[in-house]
Amino acid sequence: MADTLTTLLVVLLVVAPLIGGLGSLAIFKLSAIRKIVISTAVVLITSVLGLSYLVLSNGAIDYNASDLSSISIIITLLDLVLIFAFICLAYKQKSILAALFAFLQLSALVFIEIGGVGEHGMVIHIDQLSLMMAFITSVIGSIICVYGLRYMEHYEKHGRFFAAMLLFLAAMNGAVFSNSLLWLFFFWELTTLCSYLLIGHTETEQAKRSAITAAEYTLGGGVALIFGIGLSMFYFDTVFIDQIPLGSSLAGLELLPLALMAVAAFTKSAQLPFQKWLLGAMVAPTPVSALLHSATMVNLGVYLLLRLIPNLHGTGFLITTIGMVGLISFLVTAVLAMTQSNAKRVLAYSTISNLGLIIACIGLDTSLALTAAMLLLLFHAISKALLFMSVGVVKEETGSEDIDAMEGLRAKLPLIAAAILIGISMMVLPPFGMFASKWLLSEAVTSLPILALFLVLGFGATLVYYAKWLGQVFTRGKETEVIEKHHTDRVYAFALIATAVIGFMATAGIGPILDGLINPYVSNVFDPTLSVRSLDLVSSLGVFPIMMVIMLAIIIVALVVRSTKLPPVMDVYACGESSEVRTGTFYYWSEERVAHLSQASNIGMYALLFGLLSVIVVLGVVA
Amino acid sequence: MELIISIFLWALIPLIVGVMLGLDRIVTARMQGRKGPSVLQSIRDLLKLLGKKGSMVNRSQVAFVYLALALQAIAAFILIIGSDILTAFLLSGAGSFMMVVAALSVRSPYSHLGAHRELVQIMATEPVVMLVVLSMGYASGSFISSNLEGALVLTLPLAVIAMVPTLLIRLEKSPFDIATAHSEIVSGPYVELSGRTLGISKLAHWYELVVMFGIFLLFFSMSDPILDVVVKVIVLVTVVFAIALIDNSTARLTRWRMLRFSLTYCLGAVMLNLVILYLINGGVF
Repeated sequence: MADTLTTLLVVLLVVAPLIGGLGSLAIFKLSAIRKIVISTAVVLITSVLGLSYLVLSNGAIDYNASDLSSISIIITLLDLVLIFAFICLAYKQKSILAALFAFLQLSALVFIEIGGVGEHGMVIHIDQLSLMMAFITSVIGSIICVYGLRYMEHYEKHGRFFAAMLLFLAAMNGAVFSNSLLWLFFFWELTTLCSYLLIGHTETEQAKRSAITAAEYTLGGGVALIFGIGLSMFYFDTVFIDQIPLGSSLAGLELLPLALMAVAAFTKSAQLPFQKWLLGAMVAPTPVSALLHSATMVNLGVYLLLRLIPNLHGTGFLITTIGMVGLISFLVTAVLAMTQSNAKRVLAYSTISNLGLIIACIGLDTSLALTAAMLLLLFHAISKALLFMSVGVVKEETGSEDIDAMEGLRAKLPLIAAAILIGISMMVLPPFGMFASKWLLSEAVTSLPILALFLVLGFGATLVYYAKWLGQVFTRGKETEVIEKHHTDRVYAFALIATAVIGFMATAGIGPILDGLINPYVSNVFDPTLSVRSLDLVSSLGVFPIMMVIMLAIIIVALVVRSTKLPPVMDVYACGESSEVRTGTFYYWSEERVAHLSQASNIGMYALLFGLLSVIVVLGVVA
Repeated sequence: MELIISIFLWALIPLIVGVMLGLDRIVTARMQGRKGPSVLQSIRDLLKLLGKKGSMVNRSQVAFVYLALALQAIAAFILIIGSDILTAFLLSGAGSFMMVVAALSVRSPYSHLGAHRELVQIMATEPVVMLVVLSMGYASGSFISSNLEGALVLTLPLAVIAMVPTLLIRLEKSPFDIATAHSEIVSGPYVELSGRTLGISKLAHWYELVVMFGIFLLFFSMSDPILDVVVKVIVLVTVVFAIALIDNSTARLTRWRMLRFSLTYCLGAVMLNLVILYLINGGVF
């Protein structure tokens, strides 16, 4: 048992958003909700900082199951309530699939509970990985909620909306703290419910359809998870993640629970072939997209895989197949992102793509790759939050989410253009962390060079779709051309600047982040091979001189800019034609071809996953 | 001491690339039965451009061009001090990215066309060169260029061959002079740059060439320093001749044919080489 202060912080991180959520549900007035959300955000951020200090100085925090048995019972009861809610929901929306999944979950859960759950283990285990996830959820998630306060002014049902948003944060924090798989399952399903409520918030036909699709996919993932938990009870006689035997000692049918949990992770992280729900989720208001893509939901799947790394490490074809799913998702969705004109859709594909990259890192099963995975996860969250919030502001100011309509944003909304520039830079340009992870990953891939082909093609495609977008944002005619300047709202400015500052701090603090958060977790399985030496990132294969890059860039730009007087402004050259020029971007493929590729890759991936499960079963039965 | 030599070399890059491009112009001219300019002509052109005032359309474009130069120059520096080739390559890729954004940031149809073609070129070259770099790292067990094995050309011959079309694309030579196609889209991405800014963009391109050629020449490293220099100079001159020959004897491809060519044959060749090496290391052969 940990001391009182620690317990208070842990409880606050889960309960404060819960209370805040219930509070906003009870109150209809936006002004009151605003106060509730802001104070919840403050509590969350302070608590996560406090908890970080405690974990970093004293090590992981554990709570034994025997001390919290009453809470375990409450969670089981709530779980049943939740599943009944899903059954009602399926009935209301006439979704047979959702009903089937909910019933399967119910029967599996009842079966497990009747079988009896051991109490010799830790129900809560907060280590560096949990801390990183809680940090992303609590800080980025809070900023998005504050952003939502302004964005949702034109929408209705604020109480319900912010209740679901805050509940989402509580569920995420709860999930990453849980060491008991049953606790994790409860919070996992809670995020499913929240995402259903948020995606369907506007209650248009399309929103309702998307919401039920999302619920179907993620409930299906929940079935895989609870079956995995049941089998874990059967084979390993435990529901505690840390008691699952190490991957190298597993063989035959014992791999089945892990494979099922991986499938559950794929549904949450919207990997191929389960990507449909995340693309549909675009209809939701922008704060929801921002929350789903950066601070919560999709991270949960990746988190589960990261959490299971000790158990997946050394399982041979299982972890390789997991990596392949990620790698194919990375490449296919990066190519698809090049063909999209809607900024939110580009971002949705790029989220799937980046999470695929993280999962590919996990599948590579090396020390460097695991380090890259955790770095990517952190920087992806920051950058995606920034980009989604920017798109939301653009939508509000210009009424469009189309990349083509973003021409001249540099002059119209300079702050937003800067935010998009920073967000994209974090993804592709040095010295930001994502670039460092790209470098790391490329090094890691040399242990299995066959995978390099997918990787290099995917990186190429990623550069292309970001360049097209960034270029359009900065497209502008003559400097002196008069363009109506829009004013960026204070709340938006705060949210964007705060996120950007976190991004800069994470970049500058990449050394402490590595030493404090990432390497300790990596060292559970591997010898950490990445370190910071005299301001360079040094791995076993190479160096990335982060500080040198920053310094030289500043010096060169300063030298050149200082000595340059800006030349006179001229209009563009148009071969003597005088008509107005309009630019647009290029989308490479027709919708039909895009649909064809998605369909083909989905079929292939279903076959891959089915093949994985059947190989495990067949090999197990034969053995 | 070595660092000082490296910095000195780095500062000399514009001179070296200028001479190389001058040589290329002379060879091309002789192939066409002309006398051709002086070998220093490219350098004189650059100096003249840098001294000119020029004009601009908007500030964003100028800023992106400077950023491109900074990234390419750092990439070349990292390569020359014998550090990580993968870092150098990735930084140089970021520099190319910046040039595309610069070209897109003016509302000019030619510039946009050029930029989109440039993107297709990036799609055609980035994967190939990156795979080449990864295979070099795989073959040597390190990406630090001074730790690379000597004469990598013997272990990775297909990768060397596959890099030649990539060099042509990066040099904007026929049949791959697609983005800047002067007769079609008036030098594409560069159309709205003039004077000093144009000079800066040229300089950025020269540093980019250094990174590309630098990676290429690393295949021919020898342990004996004198032999090393001799071999590299011979390879460089041969490549310049070969490129001039290809440039003069081929017609411009469409960008899609370039992409298909590069991603099937070039990428395929490197991949094949890598797979063979992987199987040999795995003890299959």
